Amino acid sequence: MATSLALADQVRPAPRLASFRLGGWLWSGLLLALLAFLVLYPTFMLLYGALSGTNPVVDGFNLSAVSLDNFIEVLANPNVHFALVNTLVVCGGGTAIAVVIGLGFAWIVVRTNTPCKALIATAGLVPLFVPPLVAGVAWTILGSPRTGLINTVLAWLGTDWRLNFYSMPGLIAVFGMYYAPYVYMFTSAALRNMDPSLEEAAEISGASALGTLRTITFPLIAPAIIAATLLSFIVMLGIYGIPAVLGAPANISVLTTYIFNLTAWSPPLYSTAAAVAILLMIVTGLLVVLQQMVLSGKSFTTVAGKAFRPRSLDLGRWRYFTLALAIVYLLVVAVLPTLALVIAAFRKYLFFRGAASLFDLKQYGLQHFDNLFSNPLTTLSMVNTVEVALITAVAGGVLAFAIGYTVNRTNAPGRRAVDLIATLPVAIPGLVIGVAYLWAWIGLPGGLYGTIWILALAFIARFMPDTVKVLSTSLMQIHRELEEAAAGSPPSARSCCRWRGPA
Amino acid sequence: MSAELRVERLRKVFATGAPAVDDVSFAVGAGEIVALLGPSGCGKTTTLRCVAGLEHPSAGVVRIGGATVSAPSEGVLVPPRARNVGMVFQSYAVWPHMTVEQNVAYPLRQRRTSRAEIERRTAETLKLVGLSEFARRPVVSLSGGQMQRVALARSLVYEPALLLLDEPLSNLDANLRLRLRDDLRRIIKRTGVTALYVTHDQAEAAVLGDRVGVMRDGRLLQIGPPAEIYNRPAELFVAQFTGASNLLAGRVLDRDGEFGTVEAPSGHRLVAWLPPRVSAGAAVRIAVRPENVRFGADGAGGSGPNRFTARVLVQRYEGAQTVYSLAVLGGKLAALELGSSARYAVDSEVDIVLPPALCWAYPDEEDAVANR
Amino acid sequence: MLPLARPGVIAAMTLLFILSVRELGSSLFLYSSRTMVMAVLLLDYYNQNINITAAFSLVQTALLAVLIGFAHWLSRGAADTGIARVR
Repeated sequence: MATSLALADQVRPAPRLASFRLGGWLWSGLLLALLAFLVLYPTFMLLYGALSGTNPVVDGFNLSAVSLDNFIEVLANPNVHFALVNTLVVCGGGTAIAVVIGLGFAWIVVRTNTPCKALIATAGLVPLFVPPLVAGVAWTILGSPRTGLINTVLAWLGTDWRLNFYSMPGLIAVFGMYYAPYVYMFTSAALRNMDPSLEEAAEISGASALGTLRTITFPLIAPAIIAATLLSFIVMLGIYGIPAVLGAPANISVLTTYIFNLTAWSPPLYSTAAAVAILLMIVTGLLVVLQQMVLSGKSFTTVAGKAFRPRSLDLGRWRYFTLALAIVYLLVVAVLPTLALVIAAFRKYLFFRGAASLFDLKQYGLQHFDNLFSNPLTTLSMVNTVEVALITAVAGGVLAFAIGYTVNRTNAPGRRAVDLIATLPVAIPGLVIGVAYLWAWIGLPGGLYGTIWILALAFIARFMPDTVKVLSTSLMQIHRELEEAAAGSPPSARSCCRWRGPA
Repeated sequence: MSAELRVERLRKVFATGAPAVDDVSFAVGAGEIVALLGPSGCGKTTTLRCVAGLEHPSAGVVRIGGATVSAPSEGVLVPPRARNVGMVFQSYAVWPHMTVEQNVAYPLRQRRTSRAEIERRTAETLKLVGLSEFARRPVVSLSGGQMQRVALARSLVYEPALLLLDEPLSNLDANLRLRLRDDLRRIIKRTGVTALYVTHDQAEAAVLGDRVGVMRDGRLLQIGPPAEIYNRPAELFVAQFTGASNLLAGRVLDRDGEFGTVEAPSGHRLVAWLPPRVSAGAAVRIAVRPENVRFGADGAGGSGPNRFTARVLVQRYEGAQTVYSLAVLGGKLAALELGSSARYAVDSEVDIVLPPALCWAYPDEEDAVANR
Repeated sequence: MLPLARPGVIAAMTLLFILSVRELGSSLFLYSSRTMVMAVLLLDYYNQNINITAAFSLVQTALLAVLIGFAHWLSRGAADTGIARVR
């Protein structure tokens, strides 16, 4: 009897194909050593720094210096409280908006007969491809209180109404718009994988359409909604780019920007930054654990065996309304920001006498690109970026394959520890990894600090969970396809869900 | 109160492809069980879903207890919840976030039944399906067979006029399927509800249905009591789908009432039942069930029609029965011998009788079942 | 085994490449003047001149778009799973 999880997660373990004893220990030892070097050592240094206020490499290792004093002092700092409260408000508000948009999109795409669904499905994912900093920059151009393009147009229209994105609501709105896809992906997968006869049974039992939604559909996808809510909250917690550009002008600091500011002072307050980073890591870690509990605990089983044809609601004329909603979202999240960037990049000055001057072609030129590339740092940064990315991709890919293979396809000893440590960085925001690596390597003379390699190593550690997951999924897939081919059935028409980000 | 179901000239065309249901008419009397039998894609499930109201018919009329619930030409379409039908799904469709009791009580709660009444009827129905001691359990902790009993209880608890069952046993393993099959008929008959049962399993249809309807490509080919479907298949497809796997080619020499003489390529003649549309001179294929091939010189005299001597080509011993492949009439014939001792060895000669009433000759151009 | 795993490895590597190009948070603490990367420089420009920032944003977006297109072509859809987790 094939039963499968209706929700994401839980790929069943493949049979252990290879087995080795001494070699296995050596191999696992090697992997564990690499992971310890990449993940555990920097984390430990960060923790030590936060608790002792010293750097053991620079100041010498001294266990007596370790106390909670530094940490408690940081926790008592009103600036930290301010940043923490701001963080929770911004991420909470942003998550609420993301859930509304994401759920709406999921419902439109999976359950209605709205036209151009393929376009809408793609539109729902577009924000994933926009780097947060670029989104932030675009929205400063659009939404700054005085010179923003939106306000210029509003003034031209003769209204007194103004939008100010340098504000808490502005931050919340941008966060919500750009992280809605996480909720969308999760909930649309849950809706798609739900056996439609569950709802049909309710309707036959006498429930109205709304009653079915309330008593059956919603409770069944609730775990997916909760998991998606937590995930988008977790991701927002670690974002630096958007609050850095939108929050700074209004003096709204969040934990990430606060951590960075601490290190930008002179002298830099590294140990304070480490303590705040630990705080951020604890909050993130708790949420990750909570999310995993939601995903594994409340997995409603349904009978697999045939692919479901999701029920599609005939919206009648209202389907053009849902289409319009999707187009508005695409407009706000992709078209407007791109337009803003294009205008700002090609226009000589960002001052407008009126909206009509927007179309004055004499105002446009390539001078900013000339300036951009006249700075040698620009090309240097591009070369460096590609170089770091290549090193990260190749080295990280190989390591992730080694880990994924060991964990999923062998019975090497210690593979659970390997899996656990490789998953650990999920709970560490990028900024915190940055602080940890800085702390771990800054004092070592002639070391990695200041080279391209430290960036690559930090990236490898940071993206390890994602990479291993992608590889594990494909390794599982191979196994399943082989099995199905052997059983004489066609390879998976069944949908399969993945960890966190369902396809 | 059970009610009569009438389906008249039902037709359902999806956006693409041939009609899923094409001009299907039948009636199910109050308290009767009708099984719709056919291969996947034959339109049986779509017919059932049109009756439930989950699918909107393109044409035709569906009446439950005299009330019209679907009639596209008159613009009538009663939603599922107002049809007073119960339905059991192939995938059980029990709600995993509820207990057994909550699942069963759900339809009553939707009907605003009083709390005491809900409790009474839920307990009663759970007892009927044999799940009383599981009432408080989460439904996901049950086995597949138990889940299907919950689904059955849920669809019976509000005493619907009509019970619809969509392949309720096909997700269960073989042993459980047999047990639940017998239980199902007993339970349905005890409640006296009218039932429409969809399946692709001929034995299930024969055991459960008071009458069986065989469908193919959206059309209802034949409907009648199981014995009639098994002993007088109206078409070659019906014969083959219900297990008549032997096909012998021949030509009709003459016709006498319902029967006629058919000449095999080997020159042997046999007497077979002929459907009305077959006349002398027609090329036919004779369908015979392996279990209808009789061994030995039937009766004392050893005379009478359709006696042949066959040679055993293959003997396949299956424990409780033995399957033979026989060379006879210029072709091969599968035959079944019940009992655990196989009497005929390979290469031995054996006398067989093909009872004329159980040899059915169909026009050669009629499609046979592929891959059987 | 290895040939079968290749699409997964390619997907993981392109995912890593794209994530690395975008990464800002950890780079902020680890770059030096010799190892300046795009995301950090973009932030630097932002504190000086919005027009140049916009121009550089476009350059970065175009680069990412090309990469994602290339990844998509390379793994024929397999990379989408991974990109789903891009922060």
